[in-house]
Amino acid sequence: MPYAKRGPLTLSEYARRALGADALRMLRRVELECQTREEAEELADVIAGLLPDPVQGRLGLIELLLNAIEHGNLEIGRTLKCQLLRELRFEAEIEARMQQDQYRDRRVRVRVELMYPFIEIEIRDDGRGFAWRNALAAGFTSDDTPNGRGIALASRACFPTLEYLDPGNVAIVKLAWPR
Amino acid sequence: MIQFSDNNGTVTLRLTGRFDFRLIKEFHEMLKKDPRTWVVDFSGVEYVDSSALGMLLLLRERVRGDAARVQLRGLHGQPRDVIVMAKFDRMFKVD
Repeated sequence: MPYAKRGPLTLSEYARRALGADALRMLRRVELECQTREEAEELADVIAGLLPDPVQGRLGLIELLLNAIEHGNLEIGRTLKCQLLRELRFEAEIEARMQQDQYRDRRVRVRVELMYPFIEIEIRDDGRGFAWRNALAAGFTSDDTPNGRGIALASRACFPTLEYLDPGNVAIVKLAWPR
Repeated sequence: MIQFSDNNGTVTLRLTGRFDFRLIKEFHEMLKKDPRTWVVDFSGVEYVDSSALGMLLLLRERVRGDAARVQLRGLHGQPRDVIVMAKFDRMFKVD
């Protein structure tokens, strides 16, 4: 195969291979971006391989990435999402907004800084932010609404250090590998 | 993928692998059924996310919050941990 067709390894491919402690010590930064929920899954799979607990790490990443896409970039608020889910119209609304001029170029950018054994993950969307302090403090909602549990799941089960930068469009997670 | 069986007014949903946002559309199709009781079989489920919790609550709404009419069966591992953490074991009949 011609060299040009093989191309250089992308950072994400490097990250996928960097599962051993030796490789983690050398890796310093990974930057990825996604637009759709399907891309978010692939992105989470790549980054989860760098984390101490890949399964819970993946879950936390997915929750934060889907929030960034649905609530941040596509501006589907919590109340509207609840209504759309109850009316079984949520998927159609996501697809429709993805095609609209004001949303179609928006991205979620993810930066992972590695200073073994410490890891910092930044997830930045192109939205307007949200009342993140209330959301983090609230924990699991006790009402019957079919949404609004993603941040609680991410912060309670996956990332105890989760916080946001104002106005709330940047999530920051700090982790450490056990020594 | 969701497999289902309908037996004497009980619809059983059998899920495998990941029960997450990718199943929303398929799950919504299932919600068009109107059985007396629902059984959600988690024995083949390895992973759930918050979208799965939302889908279970939509199921619960369909039976007007009657916990006896929605049974969660075969929970184990990560799905069980998440269900318990979200206190869903108090909102559903869990076997």
